[in-house]
Amino acid sequence: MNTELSLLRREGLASADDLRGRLPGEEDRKRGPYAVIECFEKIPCNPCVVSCRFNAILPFEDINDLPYVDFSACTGCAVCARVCPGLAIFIVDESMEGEMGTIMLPYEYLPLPEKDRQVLARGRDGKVLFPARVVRVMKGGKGKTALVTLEVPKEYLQEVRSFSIPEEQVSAPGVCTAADLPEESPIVCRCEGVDLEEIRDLIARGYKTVDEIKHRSRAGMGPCQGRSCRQVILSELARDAGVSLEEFEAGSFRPPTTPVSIDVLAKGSEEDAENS
Amino acid sequence: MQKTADVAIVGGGISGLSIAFQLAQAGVKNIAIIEKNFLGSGATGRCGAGIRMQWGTELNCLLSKYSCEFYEQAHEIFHNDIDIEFEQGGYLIGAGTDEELEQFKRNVKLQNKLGIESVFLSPEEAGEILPHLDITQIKGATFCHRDGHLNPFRTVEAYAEAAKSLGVSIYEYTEVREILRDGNTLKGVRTNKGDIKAPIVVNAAGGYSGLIAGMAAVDLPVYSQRHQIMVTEPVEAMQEPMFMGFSLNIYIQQVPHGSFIMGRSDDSEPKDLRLTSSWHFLEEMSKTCTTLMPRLGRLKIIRQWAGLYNMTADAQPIYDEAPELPGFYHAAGFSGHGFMLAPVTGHVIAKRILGEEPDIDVSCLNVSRFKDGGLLPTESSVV
Repeated sequence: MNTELSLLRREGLASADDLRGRLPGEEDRKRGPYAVIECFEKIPCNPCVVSCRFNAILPFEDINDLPYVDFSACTGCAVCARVCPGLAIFIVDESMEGEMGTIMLPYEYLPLPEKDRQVLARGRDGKVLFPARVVRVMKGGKGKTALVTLEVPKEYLQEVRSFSIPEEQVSAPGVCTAADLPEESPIVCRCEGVDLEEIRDLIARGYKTVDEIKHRSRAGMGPCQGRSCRQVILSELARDAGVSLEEFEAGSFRPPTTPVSIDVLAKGSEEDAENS
Repeated sequence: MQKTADVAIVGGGISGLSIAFQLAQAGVKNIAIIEKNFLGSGATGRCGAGIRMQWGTELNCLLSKYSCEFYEQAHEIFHNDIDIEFEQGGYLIGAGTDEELEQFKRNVKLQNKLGIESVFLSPEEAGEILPHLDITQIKGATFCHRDGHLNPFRTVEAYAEAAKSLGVSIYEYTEVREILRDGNTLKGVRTNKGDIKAPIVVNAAGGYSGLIAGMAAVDLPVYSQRHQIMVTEPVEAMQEPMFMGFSLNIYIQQVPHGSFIMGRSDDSEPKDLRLTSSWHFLEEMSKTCTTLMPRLGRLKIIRQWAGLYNMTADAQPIYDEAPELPGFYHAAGFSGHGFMLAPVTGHVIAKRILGEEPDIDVSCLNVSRFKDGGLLPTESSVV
C-alpha cells in the first residue's frame, strides 16, 4: 500500500489526478462557459447542488458527498460559484475564437480590483504566473461571493486559480473601512455555529490548543468533526503564539470518520455473527 | 513557577480542582495544582458527567447526596456566573433481571431512609417517563427526579475560576516527574518546569494515580481500565432523564445540546493507559441501544472516544494518607465515579489535611483495606 500522502492531503494542492472526472470533454469545452469544482473535502455542505437551476451538479445521496458537474447541462451561469463557502468553484470559458479565454474567480478580499486593470494571476500554490487583465467584476454581498473575471491564455485556464492586486494599485492603507466589513463575525464552525469572535475570545483568555477550544466552544464537535474549522482555529492559534502553523498540534481526531447510523452499526455485528 | 507550596495537588481534573477549592475556602493560602496537559483533559473531560443518588450502599448514597446537593448550589458556592448546565431530569434505572428487581426494592427503601426521594416503578410507569424505551426489556425501574447530569467542561471552568479567585495557582502543561522524599519525609514534587517544595502532596491524578504513587514509592492498589463513549448527532429534546441499567449494561442521556451520549462496560477492555477507540465498542453499544430503544437506531453516531476508569478491587474510592509517607494523600480509585463524587472528594480530603472531621465518616475508604481483607461490600449499582 502506498502510505505516502498525496500532495492534496499534504499541502491542499490538487494535481491532475485529483482533477480527473472534474473537467469537461472537447465538445462541452467548445459549447460555452462551464463550472470547474475543486472540492475534495467530504463535509456537510450543499449550497452548490441546491442553487443550480439546471440540475447540472449530480444530486447528493448524502450531504457529505462531493459535487460533480454534468457538463452537458452546465451553462456556466456562476450561481454555484457565488454561494460556495469554500471558494472552490471557478467558471471557465474557452469557447471564443483565438488564444485567450476567461476564468471567473471567487474573491473575498477588499478592495475589489477595477475593470481593465492588470492584476497578478496566481496558481493553486499561490505563486504568480503572469499579469492578466480584469474583464469583469461582480460585486459580492448578501451571502454571495464577489466574482472577478480574468482574461487568460487558454492553455493556462486550468492553472490560474487566484490573483492579487499589485501593491501600487492599492491606493492607500485604510481603503477598506469598517463599513466594508460584514457586521456579524464570520462563522468558523458551521456545524455548531461558532464564530470567529468567540474563537479569538477564547484564545485571548489563554486557551492554547484546538482541543481546549473544542471543549469550551464545541467548535469541531459537529457532524463534520472539524474538517471545516480546524485549520482556521489552528491558524488563529499560531498567529496568536507568533509561530508557524506546522508547529501546532492538530488536536485529536475521533472516529468514526463519517456519521454512521446506530442501526447500521448494530446490524453489522449481527451479519458478522451469521457469517462466522 | 513558585518554589514552595503548602499543598501541591497532582492532577487538574475535577477531583484536584475540588480539593484545591475546598482547601482554599477553608483558608489555606498557598495551593498549587499541577496538570500535565490542560484542565479536564483526562477522565473528567471524557466522562458521562452523570450525578445520581440512587445507590445500593448507605455510604455511596451519602457521598453522592453530598455531591448532588453541592452541584445544586454550585452557582452560589462558586460566586461566578459560569453555567454548569446541571440538568436534573432524573435517573431512570431499569432492572433487567428478577434478582435486580428485588435489589432495587431494597435500594429504594435504603435511599428513602436517607432522605433520597427515589421511587419504585413498574415497566409501564417507566414507559410513561421514557416513551421510546421498549418496556418489555425491563422488569421494573427506579426513578429519582433530583438526579441528573452536568456539562463537565463548564464544571471544570467554574471550579477553576472559583479556585483561582481564592488564590489557587494552576500550572497547566506541567508534568510531575518525581515525588521528592527524604527517607520517610515528604519534600515536594519535581516537574518538567522545576521543583515545588511542599509538606503535603495530593495524588488526584485519576487514571494516572498509580504512576504518581509509584513515583512516591507508596502502595496504591489501583489499576486503570479503558471505557468508551459514543455520541449521536443532535436532535430535538426527547429524553429528559438519564437511563441506566446495570445488568442491561448501559447509560444513556440526551444532553441539552441535543446529542445522545451513551456508554457501557466491557470486561475485555484493556487494563492499561490506552485511550484508543474500538470498533467492537461501537457495535456492542449499538446493539444494546437498539434493543432497549429501537427508535434511536436511526440516529447517526458522529464521534466516539475513550477515558480511563481508575479501579479498585471493591470499586470504591480510596481517601487516605499514605501510611508509609505522611503528608502524601490519595484521592484515587474512583472506579468511574470521580466526577460525581468530586464535591465530596474535595470535602473529605480537605478536612483530613486540616485535621478536622468530615461530615461523612469515610474511614472505611482507607488504603489498607485491600491488605487487611477489609474490602467493602460490593456495590451492585455500577456500570
